Amino acid sequence: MESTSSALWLTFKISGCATLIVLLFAVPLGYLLSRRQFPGKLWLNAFLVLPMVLPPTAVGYLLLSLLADAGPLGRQTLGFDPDVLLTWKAGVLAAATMSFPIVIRTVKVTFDGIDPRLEAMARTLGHGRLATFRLVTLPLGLRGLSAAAILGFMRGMGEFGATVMIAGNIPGRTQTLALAIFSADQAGRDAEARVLLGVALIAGLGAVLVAEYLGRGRRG
Amino acid sequence: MSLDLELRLPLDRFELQVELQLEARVTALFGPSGAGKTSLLECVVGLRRGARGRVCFNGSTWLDSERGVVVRPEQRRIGYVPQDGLLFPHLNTRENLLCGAHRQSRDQARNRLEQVSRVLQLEALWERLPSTLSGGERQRVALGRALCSAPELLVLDEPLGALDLALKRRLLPFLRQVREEFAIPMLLVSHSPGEVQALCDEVVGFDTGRVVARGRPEDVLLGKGSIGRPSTSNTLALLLGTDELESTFPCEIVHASAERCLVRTAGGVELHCRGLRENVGPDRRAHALVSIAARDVILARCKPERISARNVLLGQVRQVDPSGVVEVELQPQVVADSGDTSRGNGATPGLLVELSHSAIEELGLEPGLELHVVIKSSACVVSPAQSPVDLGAG
Repeated sequence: MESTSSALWLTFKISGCATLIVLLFAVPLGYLLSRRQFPGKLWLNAFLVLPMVLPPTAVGYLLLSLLADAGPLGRQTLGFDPDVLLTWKAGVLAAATMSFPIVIRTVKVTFDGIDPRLEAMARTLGHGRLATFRLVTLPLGLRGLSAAAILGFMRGMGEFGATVMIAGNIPGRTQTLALAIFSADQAGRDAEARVLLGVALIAGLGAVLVAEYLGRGRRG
Repeated sequence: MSLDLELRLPLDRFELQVELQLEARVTALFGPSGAGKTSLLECVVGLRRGARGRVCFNGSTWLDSERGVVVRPEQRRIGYVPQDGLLFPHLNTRENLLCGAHRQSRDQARNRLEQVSRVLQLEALWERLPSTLSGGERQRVALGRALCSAPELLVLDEPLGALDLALKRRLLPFLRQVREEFAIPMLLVSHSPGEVQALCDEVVGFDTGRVVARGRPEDVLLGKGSIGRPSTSNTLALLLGTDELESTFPCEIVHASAERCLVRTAGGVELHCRGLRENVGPDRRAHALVSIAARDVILARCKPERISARNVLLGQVRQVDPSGVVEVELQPQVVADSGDTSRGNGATPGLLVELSHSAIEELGLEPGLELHVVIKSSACVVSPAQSPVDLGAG
């Protein structure tokens, strides 16, 4: 049971951190994609969605090559050890990369649904860009952005392929719920696998329901 | 005010090219849809990219593309009211009204909110969300929000455009009252001759991105003051768009009942009007408006007698337009002692009359000619200032 609770805690920790990091980038980037036209927008869009269409293990392999000792983000290039591979931080990186496409798409659709003229109106009333975002865009997009966060969180919770490539499957250190189910099944610990499955089912169902509710309209 | 515009902006079908120095307190841009009026307003407000030229207001430069000066919309202190109001849907009326209040001190903002709420009768709506407001209420809140931001210039894009005629008539007195109570210069876009006459000191006729006429409302409605086009009647036809030509004047209500209503306009002309179904208290009598459709007026060379029409007035022809519209200056039956002096100097109103070419010829109408003006009381429609109760269902 101890391994179950540690796997659950690690899953929440990794997925939560990944969601925060993803939102930090996806909100400004999604706003940019929704409001502005610029050269290379199509390519940027395609690049951002790439992790969704690639096999997760391919993404994991790519990240591994980046972070390997001789890779562009590795120890030899940076001159110090970033200490990411085979730690929970690698799990965060994998979950963030894999959940980014679904988050940014939801964020962009949310901003698409907010009339830019309302923002222009706030500008004429004396609000700068940031104040306008706080006064109009954020409150009107709050439900959509929350839905994006939940979807991203759930995608991160279920992440397996890329995680196993760069974080490994170390019980108590990098073993998340998804990995624990796999390990329990491989080792023939059916009872444990079933408990883990139940936990995953409850968490998943709750998140989908909340996302559905939030997506139903601005003023439910 | 002084608003200097020197603008060029490529639009879909033509290029907006404007050179205008505006000095009147209330100016209307008047013209058909798609003439570029809204684009011009957006350049003034600062919401339109790609405009070249200069925009200066009261000595400060808002745009000078040559020197690379572009003042952001939030720094221009403009109260902007778009056609659809654009209220913030997640904020209630009071919060919407206070959105622009941060530019003033707390006391100033509170006083302003109270004054605006009183003039536009918004207090009863304070707690309501925009989705629960009617079209007319929404436009009043949008106007109130612009006023609460303590603007130096009000820019109104067809403030009554999205409303039906009855509602327009009920809201026009509010705009008139804003004009009187707040000394803020106004630039507005309008399709409606009545709106223009009731509110504006000057009208700029606009078509396919260019100024085609400029002058007093009655003059421009008559096709005078046209610029760069020899045929005045063409100008008029273009300017009129779809709205019916009518005259609208500010007036005070002398007597009102369900059967009949008597009003006195600026300059002391008394008119018998259609009765008012509602009860109009003394507080609502001073700022009324009366509208008369140009095709409902009859002109006669000799005084008609034993006639059913309730208004037989003396008038003098001011101008005759080849398109068949005549402006007649009504002569007062009483000497005006205290009238509305905000337009001209308490001048008697110019009534627009639509006639056939043969009638104009047969009567020998020419400027200066004195004649009798006949109007049925049912053709004179009075819009009193509104009370909150009346507007509930609006």
